[in-house]
Amino acid sequence: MKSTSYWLVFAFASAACFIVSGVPLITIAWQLIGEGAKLIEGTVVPGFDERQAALLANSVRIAGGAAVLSMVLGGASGVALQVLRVPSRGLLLWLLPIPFLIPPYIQALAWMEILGKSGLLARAVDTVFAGQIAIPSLYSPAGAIWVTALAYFPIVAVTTVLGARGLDARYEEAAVLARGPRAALYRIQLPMLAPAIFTGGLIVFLLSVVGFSVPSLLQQSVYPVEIHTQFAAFYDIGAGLWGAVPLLGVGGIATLAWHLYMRRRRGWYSGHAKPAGDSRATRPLRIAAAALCWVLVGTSTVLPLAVLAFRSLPLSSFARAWDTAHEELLTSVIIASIAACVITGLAFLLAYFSRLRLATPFFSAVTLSPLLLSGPALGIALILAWNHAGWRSAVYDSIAIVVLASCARYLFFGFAAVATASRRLDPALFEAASVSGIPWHRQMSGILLPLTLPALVGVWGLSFVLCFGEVDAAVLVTPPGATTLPVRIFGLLHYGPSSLVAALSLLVVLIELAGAGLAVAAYALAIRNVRPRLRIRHARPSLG
Amino acid sequence: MGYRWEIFVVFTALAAVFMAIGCAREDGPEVVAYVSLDELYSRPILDEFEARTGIRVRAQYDIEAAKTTGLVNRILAERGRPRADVFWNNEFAQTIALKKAGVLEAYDSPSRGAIPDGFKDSDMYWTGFAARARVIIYNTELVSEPPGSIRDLLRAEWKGRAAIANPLFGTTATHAAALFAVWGDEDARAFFTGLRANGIAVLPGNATVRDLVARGEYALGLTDTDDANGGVLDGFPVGRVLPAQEGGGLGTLLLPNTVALVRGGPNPEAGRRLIDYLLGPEVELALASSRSIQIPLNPAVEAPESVPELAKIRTMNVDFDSISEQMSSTAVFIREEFLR
Repeated sequence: MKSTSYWLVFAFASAACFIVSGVPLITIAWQLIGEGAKLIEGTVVPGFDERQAALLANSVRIAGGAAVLSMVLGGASGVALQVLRVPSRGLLLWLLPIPFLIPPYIQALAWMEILGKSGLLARAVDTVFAGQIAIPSLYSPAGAIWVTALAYFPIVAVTTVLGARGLDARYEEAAVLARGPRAALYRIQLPMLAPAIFTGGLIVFLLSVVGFSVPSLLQQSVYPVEIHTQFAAFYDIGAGLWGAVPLLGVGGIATLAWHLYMRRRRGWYSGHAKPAGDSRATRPLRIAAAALCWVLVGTSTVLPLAVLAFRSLPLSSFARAWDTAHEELLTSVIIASIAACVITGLAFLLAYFSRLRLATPFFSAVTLSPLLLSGPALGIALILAWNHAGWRSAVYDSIAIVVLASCARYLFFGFAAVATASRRLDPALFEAASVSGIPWHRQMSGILLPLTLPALVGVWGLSFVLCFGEVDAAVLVTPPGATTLPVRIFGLLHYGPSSLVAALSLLVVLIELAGAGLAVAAYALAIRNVRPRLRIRHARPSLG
Repeated sequence: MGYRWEIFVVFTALAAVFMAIGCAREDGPEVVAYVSLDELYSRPILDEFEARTGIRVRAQYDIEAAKTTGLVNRILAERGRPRADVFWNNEFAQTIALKKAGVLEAYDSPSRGAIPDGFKDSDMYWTGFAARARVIIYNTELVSEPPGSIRDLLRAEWKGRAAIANPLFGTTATHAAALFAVWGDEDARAFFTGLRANGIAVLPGNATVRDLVARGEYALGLTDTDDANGGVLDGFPVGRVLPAQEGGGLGTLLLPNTVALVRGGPNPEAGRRLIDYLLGPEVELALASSRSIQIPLNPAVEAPESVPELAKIRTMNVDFDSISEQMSSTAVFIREEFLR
């Protein structure tokens, strides 16, 4: 029997989730009901024709390809770091996530300098082979997949590393004893990491399927442009919102498939963490894996950053960048910090209550939907919902509305991460506390909070990075006079001096790196406190 | 365990402090301007207005990456409770669309008199100033004799070597609609079909066209004077040509900035003062002297030599309302046939 206070806090968490994620959804649903009525009258025809189906298929193809390639690259590097424990692992742990901090659009521009029609590689190949051999075109679905995967593979690397840390070490130990280290690696550890790799792959898919900057730059027609067309070419808000529905469907199907896949496999990640030690893998394998990681660092981090650094010369550009955009930088840091705090706090509450039956699929669906709506549709929904006289104007007329937009877009990732971390905890901890008469809120603050603190810190860092780079929805709702840094950069991209844009882009990477570094340092501190407590807990039942 | 609810108190306090900073307002008169001209050029002008009048300008800028979905749709979505006083657009088609949507208010600014009739709304809902023009940009290392007309893009020598921005968005969409208005449906369709057959690349925006021509990815492309000038000033090997300027040619499309008062905005009087200022000769001179080399419409403004002179430019013989009327049908063709 739960106490009244329990249900009050549950109501608070549900209401907060509703305000952040549910309000835009309901607003859109309300608009669509109106549009539906017009459809019946025959005045609006937001049909789904063959052309749109082809665009959606292309989006799914590129996003799916990017997810698969990210799983290959991220999974391999994650295994190299955490399972094989390659040489220079400490440095690689810092370097491999950096591509995620570089906006995909900037990644694409950098790759055009290399693989473009007149890029460095194209010219070199042309010189050496006198035009007899042509390098593969970057302006193709494969090119879009390559660039997107290079921007997002760190997500899979991180989920793989975290998954490997959470794998129950007894399975590996039993396999090593029975069949030896090689079989343990290929027959036990790698298959058991598949769910963690698929989780990262799902995140990459969701981010890619709603994005259009990279495909557009590489001249690939994708579905999100269709939504933009309704807004920008026809000024038809209703049709634009209708256009967002198929993306909701695609993302929903992908997430449902992931849930079904994960249902019987969550128990593998019991969090019975293995003490850090040397890998049992052979030295040649570890060196080969390290080489792969360094090649990845070179192609995904060094290359684009070198292009940016070259473009930002002379160094005085950095002084100009600071003079030009320090106010926007402060605004962005404030918004991203608040949004990251809100996402982390709300994700924690939702994760606690996700232990209730049916709560997890409900919270997942509600928090995922705003991400899949696409930025412009979410922005319009927020305007329609919050731009009203009275108390709502206090939200709409302040940066609170940008915080809401950022939270709405990225709450799903926070919730999914903290819910996964909380599910790994041994239920016996809570059962023992309940039997001892410890009230629910003391269990939450005394057991769940400290044991999920590393995950919460990680969620804060991830949310900070995502919210700092938010543009699509933010540009529609940012209060006048409060421009954010990404909006400023995209503005300058139009015909600002290229050295200034490059310097500002590097500045963005540095700020995001600082935010992520803060989170990583806090994570290291938190995990140090948590690890001993995880080790002493009782064993859980076996697989399946 | 050292971790308790205190951590949430710290988070909440942090959020409250940041929120307070973010929500802090300054007292005094203000005007809210939605500005689609790039901040790089518009902000100094708004700062100068602030300094002269003491009216604080709270500006919201659009970005090309948002495919111009930003401010126009925001004004439409906010129509129940408008937050903007003034819409400063860097072209005219969207402003006319807003006029048709009934979200603008007529204003007969005293500064309108100096602007030629063809560049302002006869119903006084909007007024144009400081124009850009469509140009052919070419890479000087790849092209020795640039084409003189956009029809030349259909020639075999440019197959797979030319680029335009997506004609569904921005000034390229306006240019496409203008061609439909001037040439008629059949000719314009044939032109775009020919472009497609000649392997023209469709890029996300005019700035991308400039960048990729500058890098030699494409030999030439269509863009605006301001984009092209940015490439020249940044030292890239690019040149620009105003299309169809020779005798009997079609001429190029001029794209004036437009400014309009938003109906029901919170500070209408300050909005009117801002419009009066923007339509003055000093603003046109400032925009002409900037990197964007915008062409003054007020004949009294003496622009720097690098700026094309309005009187010497052969412009397309079409009025802005006709172009605006063509926008939707052109977009349907572009979306369903040209970009298919």
